[in-house]
Amino acid sequence: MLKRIKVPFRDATMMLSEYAWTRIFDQIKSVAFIIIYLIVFQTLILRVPLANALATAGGIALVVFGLAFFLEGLVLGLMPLGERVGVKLPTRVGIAIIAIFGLILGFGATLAEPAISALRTAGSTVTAWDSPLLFMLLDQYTELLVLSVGIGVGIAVSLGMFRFYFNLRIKPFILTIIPILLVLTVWFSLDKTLSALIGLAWDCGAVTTGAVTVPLVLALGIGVSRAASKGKGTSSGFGVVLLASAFPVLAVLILGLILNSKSPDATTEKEFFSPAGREKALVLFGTEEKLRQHAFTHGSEEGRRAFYDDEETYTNTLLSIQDDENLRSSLLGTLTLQSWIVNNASDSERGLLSGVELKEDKISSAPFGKTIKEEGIAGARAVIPLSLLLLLVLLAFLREKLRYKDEVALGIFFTLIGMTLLTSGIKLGLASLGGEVGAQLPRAFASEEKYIDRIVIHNFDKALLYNTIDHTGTQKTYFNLAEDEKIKPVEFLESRYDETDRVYEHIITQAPLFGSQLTVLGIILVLLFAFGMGYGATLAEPALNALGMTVESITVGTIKRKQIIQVVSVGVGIGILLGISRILFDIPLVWLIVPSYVLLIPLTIISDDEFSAIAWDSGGVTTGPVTVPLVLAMGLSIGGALNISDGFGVLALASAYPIITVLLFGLIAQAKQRRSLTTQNTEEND
Amino acid sequence: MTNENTSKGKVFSPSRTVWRTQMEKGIYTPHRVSHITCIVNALLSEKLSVFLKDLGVIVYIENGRVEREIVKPRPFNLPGEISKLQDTPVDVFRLTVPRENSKEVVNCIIELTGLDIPGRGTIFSQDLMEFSKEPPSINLNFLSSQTPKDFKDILLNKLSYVICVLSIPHSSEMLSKVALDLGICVPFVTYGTGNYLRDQMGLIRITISADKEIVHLVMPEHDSESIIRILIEHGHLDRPGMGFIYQTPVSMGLLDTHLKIGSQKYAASIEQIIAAIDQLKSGTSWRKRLDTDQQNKKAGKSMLPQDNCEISIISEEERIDMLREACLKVGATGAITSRVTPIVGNDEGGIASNMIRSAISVPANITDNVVDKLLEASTIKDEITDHIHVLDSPAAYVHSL
Repeated sequence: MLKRIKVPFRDATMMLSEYAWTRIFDQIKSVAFIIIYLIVFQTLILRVPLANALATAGGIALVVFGLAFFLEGLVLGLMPLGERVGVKLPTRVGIAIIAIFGLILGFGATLAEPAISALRTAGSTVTAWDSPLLFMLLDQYTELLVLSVGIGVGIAVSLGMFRFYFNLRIKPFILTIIPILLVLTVWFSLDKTLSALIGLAWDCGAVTTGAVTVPLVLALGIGVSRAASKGKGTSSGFGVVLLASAFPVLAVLILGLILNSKSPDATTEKEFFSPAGREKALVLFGTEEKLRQHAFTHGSEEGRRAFYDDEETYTNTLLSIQDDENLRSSLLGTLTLQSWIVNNASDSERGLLSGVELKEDKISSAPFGKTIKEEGIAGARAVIPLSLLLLLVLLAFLREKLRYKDEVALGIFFTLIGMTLLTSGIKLGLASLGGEVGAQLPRAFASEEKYIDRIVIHNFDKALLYNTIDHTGTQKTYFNLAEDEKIKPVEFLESRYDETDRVYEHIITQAPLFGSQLTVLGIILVLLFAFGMGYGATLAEPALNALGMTVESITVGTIKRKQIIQVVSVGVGIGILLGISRILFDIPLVWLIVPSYVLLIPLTIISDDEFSAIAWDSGGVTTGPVTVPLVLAMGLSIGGALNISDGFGVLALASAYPIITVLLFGLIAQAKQRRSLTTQNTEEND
Repeated sequence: MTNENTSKGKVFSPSRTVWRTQMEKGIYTPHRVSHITCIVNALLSEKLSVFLKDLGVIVYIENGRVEREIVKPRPFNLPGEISKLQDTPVDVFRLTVPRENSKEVVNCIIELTGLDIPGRGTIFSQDLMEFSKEPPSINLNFLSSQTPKDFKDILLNKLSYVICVLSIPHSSEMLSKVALDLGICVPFVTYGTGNYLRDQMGLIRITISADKEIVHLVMPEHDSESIIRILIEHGHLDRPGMGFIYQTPVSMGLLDTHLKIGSQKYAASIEQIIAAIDQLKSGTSWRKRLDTDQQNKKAGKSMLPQDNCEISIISEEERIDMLREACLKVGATGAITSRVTPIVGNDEGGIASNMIRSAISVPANITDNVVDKLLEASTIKDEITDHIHVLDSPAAYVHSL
């Protein structure tokens, strides 16, 4: 029995403060880039002041504390627990039980951390007439989608354990699964309906394996790998995350194939909403009300007119929107009338509603307490079931004692707190900051002014008008508008003045950032922004941090955690740049995904086995709770501005390119290692 | 059993006491063996593993890295040089052979892996006492079929193997830099875990990391004490909780002299010149440059070297906790554990890969009790892969609470 050292209170306080400060400071360093980057971009380049700066700052503080708690919780609790289970399992049970355990763990982890909600956000712009199968999967068959992804991850974890148990190399798995996925992807691309699923399938692979699952699966893999392999065992537990990213892609593609027969064919918007196409459309919506809502929330004027097929009903409906609250919610769903007019209405619809004075819509931002509560529940759902499963297996099934029970309990508690603070902070701070920047991005490449808002001025007196003249002799008429205690000159346009009612409608527009002639410069700016955001957000990803720590430990510091994080972040940046260019130029995803993975195959063949596993796993750990909201906000905004309905594929590309960069890094490291074997003289002469 | 190469000629040898005690008891027979440690570039591991398997010895492999200094001129022809550390992955092979075969085995390994070429690695041999199921065996037919060159001209004796266990993450780089700047040797670094202090502290232990970085240095014996003091100063090892450092004697070794990677200004590198002088002087005593007495006076009484013994235990992960507890009962604390992978003779399977090597630096006065308790608790009579090694450690600097 060891004698207990009583640490004096003062010393304990100092030790705790230093311990806490180092961890918090590490996280400040990891999020600093992305925060400064977004703020500088918004304020200096887009020249738009920050809204809700205090709330954003609070959210960012929550992110920093959340990351610190979460990572420390992983190190103290979940990862040692996972490793212990992994080490003990092969000594007590056979491969069949280990595989079943892997299946339950993978399946359970997907249900617990459903990243599908992120994909539903990405799919919020999907139009039913363009991509009926995709829409059906996201709207009607969501549970089936989650189940298929869960089964995919479960099979992947199970297969991963199988690989470690029999000490099988990772390359045959990569070289079998990836070509199958690529062949299926190319085949899907040849069918108009099936091709819409490609982005969703690959994005499903990218977003599964969340911030809790990845470190757990890594630790479990290391434990099984150490305990199970005979003879020359491997200490590497890498390779499961890769499988857990690849199998969901396969599962979703297969699901798409099965449901394809139920889905109507893609058609034009007018045909879809017209009475002639009603029967097929109702296959996707069930009721006419839901179909009508889709016409208003996703369609254009053409679709809405086709739905009503009668000018008078259509006009009356529009004019009744403001006063009839039930009608408004039935037509617009969660959209406010203001945002519908700004983002969805056509010019003629705006003209119809120009005489209608909008009552102020009460837009309430998510209250702080409610967000914390919601994220707390989601965090508990992600952490507690997995922890309980591991504890149950370890204590009841394997009958093993936990050496540091209090540390593990504290670690699980920290993980829970950390997850809550992190996701709340992202919602309240980082995502809103990213959303603000994302909303302004289309200005960079727009060539025309964008409609933002309108102000209806009653009792307009023409006596307030005054004339101006410019150097070319052109005369213009202005009036002074008082707004927020400031006076702003506004150009007077006769077409907007209603003489009878003495009402003037002032339309607020936003000019393109670089003027109408410089859209190319704007596009370059957007692409560079996309790279920087992908790079910066990845630096802060907790799962990547956990992977980096594991890599540094396994390689005894030969590959540093920071090196891996930097290399992966660059890869994600490149992937997101390509993903955004896909949206900007409407490039089919298959043209970007297939060549990327085809390039990966020879790189994998010539790389070292262990490094291949690390590289492919690093592709799976990116796109986590920090990157996904930012990328989605940017993608939706740009896609919306360009009327691109399919926003999928950015996350898939963000997962593919880190694999390339890490493999290249590994090849360079291998080459350096080979050079170090040569005699002194051969490498020195400059 | 005394250690022949200890320059101070200590009268009391804890390992000798252990030997006497166990021979008297007659339950466990200690074997006099040579323990060979070979650090090679990871790219040469495969070749060496195959050779050692054919040799029929039990080998334990641990991952590590070596640190070298890379010196480059500044870009754009700016004056001065940039120097930074370069890591290279290595594998550390540990094996025991009968003493009479150790030199031949060392020669074979040097020839096979080209360790006489700077930058390939380091090899050294230590005479120690081993408790195991069987004495170390070797495939003599295979060994005699090898005809390696005799590297006696370049093999050095009177060396010390210094082990620095550091508690602060990433502090190994600083200590490695000190070692490289002093021109001692190419340091190699491994990772381990140590929980002695933590286990006594309750939940506040989370503020102290269990992970340790272990810096291994092999250096001329006559300078070892002075260099150790310099390392203690730089690594703040005189403060509680920062780590500890101890040395064990080496009977023969070949050191990697490729300390720096960079531009060479002359026909021969400094390492080649040093190696040539070592050969001419038949040893490293000419290299002495630090005044041990002055160093001792400066250090005062706070970090006097203690007479210790290094006890290493190799066993399966499941049994190691039980063995460590046996040591704790008799006051042996501060074990550092690391994971090793065994390779056993020509046996292709059946051996678990989760072996643990636990090294404890034990005060001389309790060594006998510790070894006794360990042997009682161990399963070395049943398991071929379990070993207990006992080696005198004439200088250990451990800060006790």
